Amino acid sequence: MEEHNDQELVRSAQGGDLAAFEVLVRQHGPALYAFIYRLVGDPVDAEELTQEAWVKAWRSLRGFKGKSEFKTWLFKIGMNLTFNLKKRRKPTEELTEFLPGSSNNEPVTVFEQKRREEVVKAALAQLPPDQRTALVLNIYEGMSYQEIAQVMGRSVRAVDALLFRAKANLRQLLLPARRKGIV
Amino acid sequence: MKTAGKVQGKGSNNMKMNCAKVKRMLSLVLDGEAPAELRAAVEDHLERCAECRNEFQELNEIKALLQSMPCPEIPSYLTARTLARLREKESAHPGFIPVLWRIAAALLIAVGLGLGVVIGQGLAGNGGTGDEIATLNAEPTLEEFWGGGR
Repeated sequence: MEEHNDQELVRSAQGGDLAAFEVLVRQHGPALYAFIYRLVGDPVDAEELTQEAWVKAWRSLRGFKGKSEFKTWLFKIGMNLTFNLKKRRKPTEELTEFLPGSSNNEPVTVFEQKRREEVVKAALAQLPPDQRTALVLNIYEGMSYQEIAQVMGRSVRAVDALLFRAKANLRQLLLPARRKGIV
Repeated sequence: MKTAGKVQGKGSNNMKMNCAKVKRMLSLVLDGEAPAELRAAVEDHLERCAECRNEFQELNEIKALLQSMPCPEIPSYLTARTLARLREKESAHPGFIPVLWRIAAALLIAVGLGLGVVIGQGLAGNGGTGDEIATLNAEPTLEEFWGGGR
């Protein structure tokens, strides 16, 4: 699919062009879903939140002044919706998604890979939401501290502190699995 | 997607750092966000300190582990469903542009009604069509006029 310029598409969409907005959905939809999925760890929630984020983005588009990239603004909407969902839920509900499961007679390599993924997901799930968000944006979206600060509405120094703590916590959380050679 | 925005270091030339300070800076260095001078000071320390070097190595491995995690499988129907939901919401509760259109239409109607009232009042204020006809009817016919004149 041909890449379209976000700025032009946003301008058209702000003028009421739903077709232009649909191009934005096609271009950024997968990244937004992946971001939200990594925060919530559940495909059903991720899909629902992704759709909700797009509806909210369409309705709020007039308020987007172009001071940041469209993707940064969009991810902020997704992050806020995700945090709101998590506030409504008990902590135990969200963590059960990440707990390592059983083998299901799968080939050893597939099983090991899945177990590795589940251990990492479980560790990520135990991080406080703001640390997890900063880490996901840093590792998977390749965002700079400046960009993460824009998405999260924090200072660059605060992002630095969040990432420092996130990595320190992950080290501790992954230590048992690392000692066992699982990850 | 990297942009400028490095966290300012607290370093100086020939910066000597103790382990606690270096450990605090490892995350910055790992992410390529440390200023050159700070990075050089940390790297200098790492060459001489096995404990800090091990911690840096460990953080590096954890970062690589996270990066090796597969991208979540994107549902094939996601975009189609999202677009369908957008269109559905848009038709049920039109967004800001249709609202603007509605306001514009309401304004046009109001202006039209206002103009109608003003024109109507203007015509009534000129004596009205009925009076003019009545006056014309009161005029003598040609016969009356010439007859009366003869």
